[in-house]
Amino acid sequence: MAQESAIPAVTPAAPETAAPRRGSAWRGIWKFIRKKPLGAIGFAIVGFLLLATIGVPKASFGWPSLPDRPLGFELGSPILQRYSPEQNFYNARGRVRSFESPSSNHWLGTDKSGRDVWARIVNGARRSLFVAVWALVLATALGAGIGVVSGYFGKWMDTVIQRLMDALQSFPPLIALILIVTINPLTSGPNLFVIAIALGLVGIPSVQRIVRSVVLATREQQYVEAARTIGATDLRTMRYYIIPNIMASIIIVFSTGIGVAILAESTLGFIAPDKLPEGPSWGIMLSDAYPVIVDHPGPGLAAAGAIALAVLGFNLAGDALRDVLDPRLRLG
Amino acid sequence: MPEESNYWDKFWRKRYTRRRLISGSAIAGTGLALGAVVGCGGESTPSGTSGGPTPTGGLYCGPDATPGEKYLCLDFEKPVDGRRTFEPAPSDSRGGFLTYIGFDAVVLDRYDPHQTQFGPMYSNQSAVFSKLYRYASHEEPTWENILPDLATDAPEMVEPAPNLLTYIVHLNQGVKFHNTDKIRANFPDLAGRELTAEDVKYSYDRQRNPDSYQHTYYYRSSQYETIETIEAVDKYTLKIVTKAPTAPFYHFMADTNAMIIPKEIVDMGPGPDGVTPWDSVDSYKNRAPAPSDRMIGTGPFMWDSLTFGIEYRAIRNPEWFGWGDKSLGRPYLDGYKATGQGLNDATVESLFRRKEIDSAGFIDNPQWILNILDEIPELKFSRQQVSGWLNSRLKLYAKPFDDWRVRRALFLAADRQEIVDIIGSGAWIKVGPVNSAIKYWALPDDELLSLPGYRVGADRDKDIQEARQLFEAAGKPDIPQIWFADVPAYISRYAPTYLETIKRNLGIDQDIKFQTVPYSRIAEGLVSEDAETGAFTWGYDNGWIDLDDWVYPYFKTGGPKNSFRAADTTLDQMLDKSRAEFDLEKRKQIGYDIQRYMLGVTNPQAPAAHARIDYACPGGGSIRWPYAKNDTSWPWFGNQYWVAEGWFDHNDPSFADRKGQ
Repeated sequence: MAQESAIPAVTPAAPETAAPRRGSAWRGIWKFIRKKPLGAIGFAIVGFLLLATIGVPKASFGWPSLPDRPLGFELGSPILQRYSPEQNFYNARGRVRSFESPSSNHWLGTDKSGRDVWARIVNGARRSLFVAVWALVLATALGAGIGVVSGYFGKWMDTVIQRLMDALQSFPPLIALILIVTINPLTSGPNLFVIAIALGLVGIPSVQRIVRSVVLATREQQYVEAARTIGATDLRTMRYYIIPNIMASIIIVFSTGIGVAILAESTLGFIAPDKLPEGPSWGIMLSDAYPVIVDHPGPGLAAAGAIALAVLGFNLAGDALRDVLDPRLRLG
Repeated sequence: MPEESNYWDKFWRKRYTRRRLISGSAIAGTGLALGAVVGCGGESTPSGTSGGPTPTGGLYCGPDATPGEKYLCLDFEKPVDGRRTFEPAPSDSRGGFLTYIGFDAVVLDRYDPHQTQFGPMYSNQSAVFSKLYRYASHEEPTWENILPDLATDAPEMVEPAPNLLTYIVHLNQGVKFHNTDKIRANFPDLAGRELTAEDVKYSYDRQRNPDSYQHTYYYRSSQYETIETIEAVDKYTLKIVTKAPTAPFYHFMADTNAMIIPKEIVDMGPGPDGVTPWDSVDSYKNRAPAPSDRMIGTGPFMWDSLTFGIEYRAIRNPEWFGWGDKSLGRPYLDGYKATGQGLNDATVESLFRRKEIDSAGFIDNPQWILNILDEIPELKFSRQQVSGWLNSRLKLYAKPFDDWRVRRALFLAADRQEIVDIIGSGAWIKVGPVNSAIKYWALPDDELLSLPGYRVGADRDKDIQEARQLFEAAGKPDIPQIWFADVPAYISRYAPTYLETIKRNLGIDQDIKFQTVPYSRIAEGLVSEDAETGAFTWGYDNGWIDLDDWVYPYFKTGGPKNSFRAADTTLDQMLDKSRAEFDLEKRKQIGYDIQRYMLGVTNPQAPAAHARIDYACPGGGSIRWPYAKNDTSWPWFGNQYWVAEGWFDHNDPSFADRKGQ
């Protein structure tokens, strides 16, 4: 027909010049697992930790509070917890079931007060994770800001800022942490947000140092020079030309820093348990378990294992993220 | 035109690859597994503790006994106190430092022997300072078990009981104050000086001086205020006349901190106002010499050093008067050390096994004691119930504790069995107003454990129900912040559980605040005029000996330990009656009546009922290596002078690889 003949036939492109077929998400994941098996393990651990923190959300909104409303809405009890973390279990004679071995009822046994260790590990995960996340948000935001300013402007400003950061970093971080939570002018008692703030403040020097080093390299790029040439102000240059190009590094710092923050929070709980608010915490569990570690190693090993696993997971995931996001490696 | 396909056509025609099937199955399987985990939890309650089956009571030694129960079922030596047969050390078994782990190095209080409230400090000072008398047994604190110390023998009691007012005390002659280079440098007139009746008079008068700047800190003042006159008749004789017949007066002279101190060590320089004498061994702003350098007495050991939290060390006094018999050559040891490092069971066990310490007890895990006694049967194990105990103090002038219903509700809601199980691992003991470690004066166990607040089984449920009803009737008031003591660590670890239990048993959902505070802060809070400061405290109190110590200073209107500000005329009359009653059996019955009154048995609405809520005490006990001879065990601190009779048997096989000094 005339109309049909007016439509030009479309000749399919030759296979070698055809646009590459986009792989499915599963294919991408499988490829990632094959290429970065350790990173995959890290992400699996992180995923499991996130799963441990999830609960059925409740319609209760307000200011973020730790650990149960870190994002402004009530998270609900963790779905993996099985029992309340403060629930004491008793035997038929009404005596507390202390230090029971792992069983189908108590996967990781019970602690001295007859509480389910698994429930406390799961609740501790939420606490550690969200304290670490908030700490890293603070450390990254402030540290990145300081690093960008210091690296971009250089000269005397860089010198002053870096010497200040050196001075801050020379103070033992754990001592600084304990000092800040002890002085705590913000609340009348131990508070997880204060701990997150303290962790964040202590982490700023490390974050800014990494960001600064990346900014030093980035500011020498031609596009930055071009931006300056066409009259971009310093603020505009930093905002539109520097920061977007160092976001990968910031993301990597954030992700690897979470493991460090979890470790720091647990260490604080172990060394100074009275500085933390009541509630299950891996560090406090370790502190409670230490006096009886020889005769009843279960709760202590569980807490230590959780800390180790969390730190390992975030480190592996962060390393893989760095490998993926680092432009030099991608071009290779 | 091709036929239009609808959704269902597409659905049925869709091709499913094997890969898709597998991944879909994996997702579904994971979801099912999660569902199983979530849905198949065990005994679950929305929140808080489960409040499981009520304990059935009684000592259980069956195969599934908890470690604490097994500990209480162990065979043990009867506590070895001063009534034991004394075995002098042979000449080839002298020297060495007895070493143990204890709170003696965790001194948190004053150095002044008449002002300190801290039990471990009584211990440190008991080896350094002497008293007129000492106890051979706290378990049977009768006159038969009071022995002379500085005195040559029991006091002459001039008037017969019940009209006894006058006591004549004769002192040992030639008792010298400690004498070292440092003491000579700091107190040249004191070093090696002889103790006289004037020193005793000074020590007693100081604690009953109402004009002293430190008057409120003499916590034993209610004992010394019973004295009408005290006179040094001659250099070695005292005459003491009491205001009224006072049955426990002999005890007052033997009590754990009835120390005799020289006036030279007291800082009488001006205090903060620049005029009034400071009157404390804790010198004003550490005016030289430092308080630790003022620890100079006539005891068998001399104060060597105290490094807080690390070690307290005492060394042998070669000039010790030996309780009137220097020929025995006591002390036999070169000294003793108490280390406070690592006050936890794992560390204690490790040190004991390596023989770096010579005796030890469990702190909160009795399992290691059970294990080591199985492995090394020749170890000596004795069990000694501790007379210090955990309690709460409520300020009756603070809301809501002025309401008897609130106090009784808290008294009933507290789960003492839970404290025994969780803090004490089952090896602790529930106690009342007089700790049953002092069986002579304590309400009999079978009566105490049948009372509301202490009973188990179905009766416990009734107590909880009553607690809820009372608290509701009182309007469910807000409970003020609770101050938990910071030492030992198991107190603050238990705090969240205590709050959960109280809330559950009272049927409330309040956010009850708590904080962990040092004992010094608790002490300040208790005497503070501010009603809300320290209105509800939770921690240890010192164990006492005589009935009077347990009740009189606490509950007598205006008593030095009456931080509750209890003013109960009925109780005051009972307390005065107990002080005037010399017949021990009758006095014991008065003591029982006082305890029943405080427990709310007589009248739950009494003004002072439940002002102090008593919980539990450690089961206590110690193991020691067989080479440690003449070791004694006591319910509480303050008896370290008995170390003067201790020695190491160098011929015992267990001594060979001893690592200690």
